[in-house]
Amino acid sequence: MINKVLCIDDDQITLVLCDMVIKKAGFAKEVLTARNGKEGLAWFSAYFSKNNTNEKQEPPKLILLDLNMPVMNGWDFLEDYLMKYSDRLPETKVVIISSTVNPEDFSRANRYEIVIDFINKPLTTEGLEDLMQHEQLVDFF
Amino acid sequence: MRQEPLHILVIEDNPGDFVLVREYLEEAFPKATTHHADTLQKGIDFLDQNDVDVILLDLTLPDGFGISSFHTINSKFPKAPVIILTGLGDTEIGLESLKVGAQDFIVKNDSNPSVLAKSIKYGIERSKIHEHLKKSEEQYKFLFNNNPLPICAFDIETRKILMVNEAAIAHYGYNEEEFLNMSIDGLRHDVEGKEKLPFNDCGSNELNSLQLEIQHKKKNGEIIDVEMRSHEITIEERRACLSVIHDVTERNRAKEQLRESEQMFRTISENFPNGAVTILDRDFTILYTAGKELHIKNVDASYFENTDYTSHFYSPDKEKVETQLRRVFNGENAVFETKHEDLSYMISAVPLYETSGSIGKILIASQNITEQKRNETEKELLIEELTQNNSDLRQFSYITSHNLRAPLSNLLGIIKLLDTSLITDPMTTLLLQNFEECTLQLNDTVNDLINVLIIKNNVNAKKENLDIRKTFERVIHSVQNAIEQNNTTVNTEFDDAYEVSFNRSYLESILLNLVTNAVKYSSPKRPSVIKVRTEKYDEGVKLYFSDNGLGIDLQRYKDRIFGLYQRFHDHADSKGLGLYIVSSQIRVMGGEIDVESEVDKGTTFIITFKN
Repeated sequence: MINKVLCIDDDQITLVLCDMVIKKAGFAKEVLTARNGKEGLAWFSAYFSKNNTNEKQEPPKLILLDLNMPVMNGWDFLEDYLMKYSDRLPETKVVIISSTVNPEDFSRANRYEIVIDFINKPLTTEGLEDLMQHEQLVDFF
Repeated sequence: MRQEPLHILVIEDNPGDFVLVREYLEEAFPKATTHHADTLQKGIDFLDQNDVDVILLDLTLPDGFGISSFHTINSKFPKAPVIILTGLGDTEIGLESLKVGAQDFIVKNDSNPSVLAKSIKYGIERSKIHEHLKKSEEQYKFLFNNNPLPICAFDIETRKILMVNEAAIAHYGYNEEEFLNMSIDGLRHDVEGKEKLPFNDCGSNELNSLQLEIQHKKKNGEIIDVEMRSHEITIEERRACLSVIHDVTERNRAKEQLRESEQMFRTISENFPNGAVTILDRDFTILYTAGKELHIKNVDASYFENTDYTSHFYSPDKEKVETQLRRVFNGENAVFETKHEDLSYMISAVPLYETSGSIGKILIASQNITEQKRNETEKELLIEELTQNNSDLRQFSYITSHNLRAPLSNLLGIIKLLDTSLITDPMTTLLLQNFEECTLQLNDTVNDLINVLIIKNNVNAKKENLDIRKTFERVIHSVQNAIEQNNTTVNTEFDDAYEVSFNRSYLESILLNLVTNAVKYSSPKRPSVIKVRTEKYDEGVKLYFSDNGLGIDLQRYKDRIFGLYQRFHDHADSKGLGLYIVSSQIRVMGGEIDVESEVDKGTTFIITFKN
């Protein structure tokens, strides 16, 4: 089981459902949520800040990322994250979870090494079970 | 008059007569030398050896017979003037001799030195003039006969031909006799209705001769153009006309050809469609220009001629034209676009080589392409606009799909997580069941629509070699339950045609759609049968998918059968998307689909897979 995942999605219901499904499937112990890319980045910013007093806090090993979001969308988050944090968190991977039907999104996702899968919504226990078999995640289970 | 002493030969057998004549001669011409021959033969012998100025001939010689003696001498020595000596009473012979060419005759006994002297002097003079005349006539005849141009003479009044030369005979093909039986008008071609040639008015010498251009006809029927130069002469005291004929047929033909080719050239250049042709000198001066474009613009070619070609363009086109034309003068061909005022032109220029190999001029063909340019620009704008619209629409459809799917996926997620077993109220359970059914239905519809969208935008869907038999088997397996429930029999006949190059998921989707349709729209009146068979053809494989179901009224629906949201049967599951997706998937793969159907008999779909 993964200790901690970060769910970035603007849809509150999706976040709740994700949390429930993840726990039901036994995928992760803790689900962090962010309402858009900016909030997601803020978590990492806070984590790496000098004022971070909670030394024991552990970074998420997996980011479940939506693409269409207000304020900062998934792609912009990904670019920023790759620039600022990914070097320091080599174990953390990204799975895109989206309702998109735009083929461009699929091929774009393919170009990022850090993105290990692309799941069409909704996130289901079956989908998570498949994800657990993923070669880059299988060691967690 | 002759200065040298005269030599006179007297041919006289009577010594008395000779003495008398000699006396007279010595008195009349004291310096003259008198030679004597007493027979005709001796006279001839002497003349063979010596030239004399005059011969005095007696006609009663022992070896001569009257007038024949004169003929003998005259024929042998035609140049020597002969004066006949006759006896008293022989005047008739004397007169006769004058007729045949003797200069004079003298009656011996009735003469004196002065008569003799006068006769001799006149005789010599006359002979000289005669000789001169004869010579000039001969020269004239020579010129006439040997002239390379046909010449003929004819009587002005009767118009009968009097003389023709060899050249005329050779040229016209008539012999001399035929010519002499013809009138000068008989040589003309198609003389009917034409006015008589006015030979009456022709001048009397070459300078004021009458010149005519007419057509003649040769004996072989060939018609020739001739230039006829005529002047008046006198032949046997009648007014006659001498015509020198120059055959100008060839010259006229060449002229005509030249005129025609010039005409052709003008026609081509002046009608040069939608543009103009121009010839430039080395310094860009317009030597010639013509073309339809000039007419359209209502400009005379002379407006451009002798002006600098480049002066008709404005910067920066002017410089561009200059650069291009220089290239042409360096031996290259140039094709370029340029603007003249508000019009666009396509200009093609080629060098014109002189025989020396240098380029003296260049030829320019300019085409007005304003219209094309405008169309092109409009087309480009339209394409740009369409591309933008298409892209906008696509983005719109992606966003719409996404926004539809996002809450729908939440609903699906919720349904998956709902545990209805915990609910005790049967009414709530029923409502939740309906809620679930509606959600799934909505999801199907949305997914179908998205499928359509993705197929449309996915022209490059991956093709692979597929085995229809295996794909079909998999499809049948996936809907095994429905087939069994409906009691449908499936017969296949793939034989050797089962390999197609197609997108795997499309083929599955197509076959699935066809099978479910066949099951869904089977006839309640008979056991449902699906028959699938394939056959090879030149370019690939044809698949025939037949059922014995409800059928479709093709007369009414032929055009709409593969359309979007077309439903032909009242069926709960029918959304009118299946065949639209099938046809889209086939077309995007370069295949074809056709349908044959009869109401209440069944339907056959024919799918063509191209390899």
